Amino acid sequence: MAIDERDFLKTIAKSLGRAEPLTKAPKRNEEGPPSFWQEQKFEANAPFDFFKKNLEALTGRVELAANAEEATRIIGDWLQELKAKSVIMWEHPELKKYIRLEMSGIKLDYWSPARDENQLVAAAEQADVGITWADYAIGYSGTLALLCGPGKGRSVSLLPHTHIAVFSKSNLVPTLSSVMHDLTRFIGTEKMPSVIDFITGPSRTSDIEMDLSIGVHGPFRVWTIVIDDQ
Amino acid sequence: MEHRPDLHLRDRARNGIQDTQMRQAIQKAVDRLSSNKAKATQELGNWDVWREQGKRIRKHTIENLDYYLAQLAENVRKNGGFVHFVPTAEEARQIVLDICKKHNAKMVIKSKSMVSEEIHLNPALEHAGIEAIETDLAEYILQLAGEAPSHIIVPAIHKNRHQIAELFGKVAGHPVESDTPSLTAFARKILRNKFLTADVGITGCNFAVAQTGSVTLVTNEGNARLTTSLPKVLISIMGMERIVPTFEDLEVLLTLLPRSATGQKLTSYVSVINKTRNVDEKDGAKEFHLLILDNGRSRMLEDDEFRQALHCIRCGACFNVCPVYRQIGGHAYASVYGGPIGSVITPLLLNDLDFWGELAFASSLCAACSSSCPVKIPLHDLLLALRHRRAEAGYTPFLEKTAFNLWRRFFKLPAAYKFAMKMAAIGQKPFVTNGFIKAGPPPLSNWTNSRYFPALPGKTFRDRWREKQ
Amino acid sequence: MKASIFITCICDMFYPQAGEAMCRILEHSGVQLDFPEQQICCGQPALNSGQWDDAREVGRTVLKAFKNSEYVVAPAGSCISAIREYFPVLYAKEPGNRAISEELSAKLFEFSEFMVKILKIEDLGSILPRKVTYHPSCHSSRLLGIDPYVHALLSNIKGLEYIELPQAENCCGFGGTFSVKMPEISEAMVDEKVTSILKTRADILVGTDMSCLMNITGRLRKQGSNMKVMHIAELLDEGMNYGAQTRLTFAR
Repeated sequence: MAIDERDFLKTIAKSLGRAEPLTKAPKRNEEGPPSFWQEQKFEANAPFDFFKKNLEALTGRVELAANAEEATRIIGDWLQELKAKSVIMWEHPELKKYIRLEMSGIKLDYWSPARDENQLVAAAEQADVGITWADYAIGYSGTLALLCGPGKGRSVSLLPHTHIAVFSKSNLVPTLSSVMHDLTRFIGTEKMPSVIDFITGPSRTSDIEMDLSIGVHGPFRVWTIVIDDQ
Repeated sequence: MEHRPDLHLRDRARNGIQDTQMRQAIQKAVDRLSSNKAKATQELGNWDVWREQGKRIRKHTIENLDYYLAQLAENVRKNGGFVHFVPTAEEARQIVLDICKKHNAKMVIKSKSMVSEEIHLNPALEHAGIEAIETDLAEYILQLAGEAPSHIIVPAIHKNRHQIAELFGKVAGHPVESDTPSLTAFARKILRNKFLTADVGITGCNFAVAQTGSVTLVTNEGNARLTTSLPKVLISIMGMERIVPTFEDLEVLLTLLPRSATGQKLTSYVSVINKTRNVDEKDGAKEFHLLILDNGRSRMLEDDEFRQALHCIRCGACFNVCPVYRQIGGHAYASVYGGPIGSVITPLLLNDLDFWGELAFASSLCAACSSSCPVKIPLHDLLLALRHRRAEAGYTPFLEKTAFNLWRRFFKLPAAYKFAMKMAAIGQKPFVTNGFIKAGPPPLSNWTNSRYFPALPGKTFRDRWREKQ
Repeated sequence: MKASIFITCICDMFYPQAGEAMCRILEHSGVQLDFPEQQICCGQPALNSGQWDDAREVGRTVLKAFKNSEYVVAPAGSCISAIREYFPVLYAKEPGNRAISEELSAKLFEFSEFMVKILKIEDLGSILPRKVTYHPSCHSSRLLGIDPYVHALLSNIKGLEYIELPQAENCCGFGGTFSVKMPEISEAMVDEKVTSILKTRADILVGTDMSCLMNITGRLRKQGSNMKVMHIAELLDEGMNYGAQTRLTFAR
């Protein structure tokens, strides 16, 4: 242990009335949310209904798609609506399964681990739309949880003006508890990502005279497609 | 040594009160924010149970801070990051400069970090020839204006859109429209370029997670995500108390913080940064430094009473309900940390009960702050305790001490009290018109300058009771 | 039932009529009252200024006075919260006095709380066809939780039109010595309070603490308003004598 750490922790220990810093895990009676929160039950369709209501309240969009054709068609319509000329997409197996955008007229880049990082960031910066999968969608707050990794760049949901996220109904969870639960299980394994980005609607601020502004540094729009696989 | 402003609290407060634009802007902001909080907490339900849970988690963490900081450091290092335990602001500045020098950094971008203001980082970077750009919209505005923040959540609320347009116009070299979309678009464009070219990103830390060595950033604009995704080097500075034990605990704080600060269920972005980028990842930092800062916090930790002030999660709810803050504004506190929480921690962090201890008197002890705190810090009790410590340290002005001495002599014995009342009833006569004293001698003039003071009716309740028996 | 009156220094000195109205109501409700003369002040002014030796000494008058009382009733909440919350801290090193203060806290009640919680009386047959607004004093409201009792009493006054005070929870700016130590801040606060009170166009402002009401009245009068300001006991008392020519409408 570096000197700075040892002295620092010793100062803290002393402040707390201990001769030496505590090295054994302190006992805790309870951890995390109140028990009523952990024990609550939800109706089957509740996470989807909550998610739709919450994200739409934040100006987001939520569309159901029964299959890949429908999902692709919806995105195609959206790209037309946005007059988008370029798209950057996660290189992700689920996403590839449902979204087939190799069509004419749109410049399509994949955030591929094989490509040069500067080129990828430049592509994301120039793209009108970024498309990602969402590892979780949290109903209670209308939140997407993106676990970043190879092929799953942070920039894709961040640099373009519009972020489109696709996920299956089975990715929907009622509250943040489910995600935290999984993340806890991932500790010490390969499954723990370098970053988890929880995204709840578009970028916003009220810094100017408390006047709401959407699209400050991040995307102006967060639109989602839910594959109805249930 | 922290620079003491020229003016004392009362004069700074007066200046704030006289700034009508600022007062109106602040009142509009705090009323909106506290109304939003009320709606959000009502919608969640069981708010007091959540608060109690938050308090328990914070108390447990702070009381075992040595353990959790060691666990945090171990995990950050396991993930390839660097940890620096920093006792003072000066050392913190030096470490940041060293990292920047090592990487030949010419320009660093910062997302909102109060602790970086606490250590006066920006002037040190500028002095070393490194351009430091604030990317949070309000902090960017303040940086251009050369001003300090006036609120913990909406720092530039005291600036109106015309002032902001003027500042942006100077940067642009041509006029910028003052409507919100135009102003935002301008800042987005200018700062996007900085994000893409910065050498180093510097952030604060809303909550570090000991269990995993993670840093959590809770924001709305996207600038923290950009700061942590694009530059190759990331530095996060945390006050040593900004930590939770586990992800499950993090959920509780994420339930409390956004609702208390802005009335949101969650902010637009909550980033949990576990480590630098993995192999085959193409964005995210390649090198990560976590600075864990003491800077006076261990002194607070030592004190059984003031230790509780370290539970703070920097939500700003206390600002939004404080009847004093809404009149005097943030600059009157003259500290990085203003409002009720700032009035408690500033004198303690700076170890100055004399000058900075005045802040404990920027309060009527109404307890609105304590009622609003999501982790139940008894702020009004702590303000009172500060006043007591200050008096014990001998900083009560002589006249005030004498006045209370006198008051005590007359109020400790019924006979002395009755005598004092009789004398006061006579003494007040020249000042009384229509049952009021409209212009009293000092110090009563402090009252009568703005209010009538009631005249003693001549017979006290106890006089009249006695007569009736 | 027997109860002792804790008059509180501001009522004793400036507003004896509020204390007397309270006594009339309590006696009318069957309470036998006494007034232990050793009481002077709870010491809060010195407590709030950090001068705790002075506060301790003066606070002892209250500890002495009510040793033998079964119940103690006060026409103010602020003093009660000082005793409940801070006497244990003030007398931490005086175990005897600390014990007495804990005993006192258990039997000490603010007037509206005593009426509703102990006497279980919410309707005194008061009649007062007036527009009334209520300022909830900070300590009484937040620390003692007496708002429901006040509302219970007000709601039973026949003919009374209750008008909610906008942003009622904002402190009036009294804060004891705060009002003279930070006069500019105090003025800004009472000014905002008076502005919202006047907006209600109420006939009467009612409250539970004469300290706050003294502050607010002082500003109202200086601004040229003659809106009536009454303690809850005075309001109830007036209502009980409504129509009787012998009672003069209270004016201050």
